[in-house]
Amino acid sequence: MTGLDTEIALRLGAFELRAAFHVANGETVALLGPNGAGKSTLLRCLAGLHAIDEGHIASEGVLLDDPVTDVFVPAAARSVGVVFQDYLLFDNMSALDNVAFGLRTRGVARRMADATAREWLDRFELAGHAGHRPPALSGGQQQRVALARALVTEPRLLLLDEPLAALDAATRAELRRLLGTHLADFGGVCLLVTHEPLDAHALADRVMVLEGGVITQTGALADITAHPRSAYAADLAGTNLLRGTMRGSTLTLGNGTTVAAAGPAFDGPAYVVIPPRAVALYREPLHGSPRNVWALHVVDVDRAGDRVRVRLDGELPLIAEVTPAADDALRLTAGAAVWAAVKASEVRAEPA
Amino acid sequence: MATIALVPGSSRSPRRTAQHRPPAPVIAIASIAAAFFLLPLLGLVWRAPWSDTWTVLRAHGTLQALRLSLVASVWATALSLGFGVPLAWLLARGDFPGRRALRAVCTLSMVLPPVVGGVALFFALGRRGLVGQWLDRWFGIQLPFTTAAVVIAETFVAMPFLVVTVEAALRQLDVRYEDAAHTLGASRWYTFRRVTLPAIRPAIGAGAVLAWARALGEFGATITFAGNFPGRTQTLPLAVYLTLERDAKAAVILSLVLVVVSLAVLLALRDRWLGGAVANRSR
Repeated sequence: MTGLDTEIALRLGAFELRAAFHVANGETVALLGPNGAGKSTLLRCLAGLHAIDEGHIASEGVLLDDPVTDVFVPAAARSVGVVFQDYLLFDNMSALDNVAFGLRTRGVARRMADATAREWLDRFELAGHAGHRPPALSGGQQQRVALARALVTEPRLLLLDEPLAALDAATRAELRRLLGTHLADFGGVCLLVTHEPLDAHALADRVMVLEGGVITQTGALADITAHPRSAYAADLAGTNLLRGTMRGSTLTLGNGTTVAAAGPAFDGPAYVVIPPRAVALYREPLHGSPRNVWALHVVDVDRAGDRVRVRLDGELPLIAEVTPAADDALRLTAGAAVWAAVKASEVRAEPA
Repeated sequence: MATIALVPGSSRSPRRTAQHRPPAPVIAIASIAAAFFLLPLLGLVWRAPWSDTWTVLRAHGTLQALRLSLVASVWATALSLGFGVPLAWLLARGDFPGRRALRAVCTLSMVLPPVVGGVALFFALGRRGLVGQWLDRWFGIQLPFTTAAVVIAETFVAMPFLVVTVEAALRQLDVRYEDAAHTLGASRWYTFRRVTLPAIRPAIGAGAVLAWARALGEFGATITFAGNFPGRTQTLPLAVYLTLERDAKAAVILSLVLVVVSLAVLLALRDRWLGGAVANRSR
């Protein structure tokens, strides 16, 4: 089987990780989950830094870890590139030597390794920083060195552990774009650990939600938003993401609909994030305070316990979460016309 | 930083400087401690028979003892480095039963009276010793009362200083840097050379300076295991002690020689090595 094929069972003290999944070549999968869900542990197993207790890990049909037949390919012998959460660049080496490291360990001659590393630094717009040591670089530059270092060996498996978490909003947007273009060209398997649905939306083809060591949901982010199967999926992963053009503090969507956002004003392409719980629904047209009011219709309603998710469309696609009581009172059925209101202060905008 | 407005012409805010100054009682007590170390030095300088200096220094035995001290202490430092760094690595990262006991044994000579160390070395490596008898019988090697014995005695008391310093740095080092190196295809040996070693280099330097200083001042283990033969095993500390019995003035000058050499090395290396005993990236 091509791509990455895994079935992992692992016990670490009281924590237990059980995850089976397949990722195709060229596919990027975002791994979303709360802290302590086992995301980093899962990456460590795939990277070969931790052996699994049961199951198997195979890449391109080759077994990397299989306790039954006692196969364990250590990290150094796997075709893997890892970008760690806090980069873990080697401070005693220049940016160039950091990037060339993975080539030197594999026996590439210094001149060849340096030339290739230089190409990758160029590709990540770091040509002028080849001789600088990591402490002299900004957070965004360090991040790009870490990416170049992981990609330079052209690994079959790229593991990114919250690669954008430590950056400020503007740098994050820039790097998200850069990462997006590289992932589009990347022919291997990419796993992206993140807390941020925006990153998953922008970079991943598919999302896996990992909670308490178990994959609770997998699929397109839009499906998870519409039909979340857990509180985490609903609250953190399942949020409305809209893309458009920002002017000041108003985002204009492709069809001309506007969304007012709070926070610092800026211009240019942007995402807005609208939490489903911030959406209030009415059967009558609204007059008055909330700046965002849209005329929509109900597409479907997903009722799960005390959580009712209403998928809406019209001026814009939107997911609302209401209480069962409100659901009863509004008599929400497919096709029903509703007005959705969201306070601008509930809308977060971020450069795209 | 950028938010602190600077008054033109002043380089820093006087109020901040005052806040960071130690309180008066601390200054007073610290002054007593400093005087405690300074006074003996002044005593030596005050007592020194400056007119005889040249004669004592020119004496054959002095230079010989100084040279032997330097050579033996440098050898002891080199041996401490060569064997101590791997030992520190094993103690910091090794996973085997009895590791704590091993650490205790390997650092015992830091707290042991050096004379006891010398006696113990004698029973291990002496002509009738545990290992020494075989060295003698098979190879004809007799270690006691040779220059090699001086080096062994000094290494015995000095190496733990390096081991303890380097082990502490290795423990503080974030092993995830080594994980990163492994994912980049680095073997354990390559990782040790290119990632671990550079990160603990300041600690190795600091440990080497401490070990060298301890070796230079070594007396008890040396005189017990190596004896006191001018030109062969008589180091400067030994010369000072024995000269004191017959010629106090000469002993003062020999002491000052030792003071000058030690102080010069400490001043030259202290800021460089002892300043940052642990690398900055071992957060």
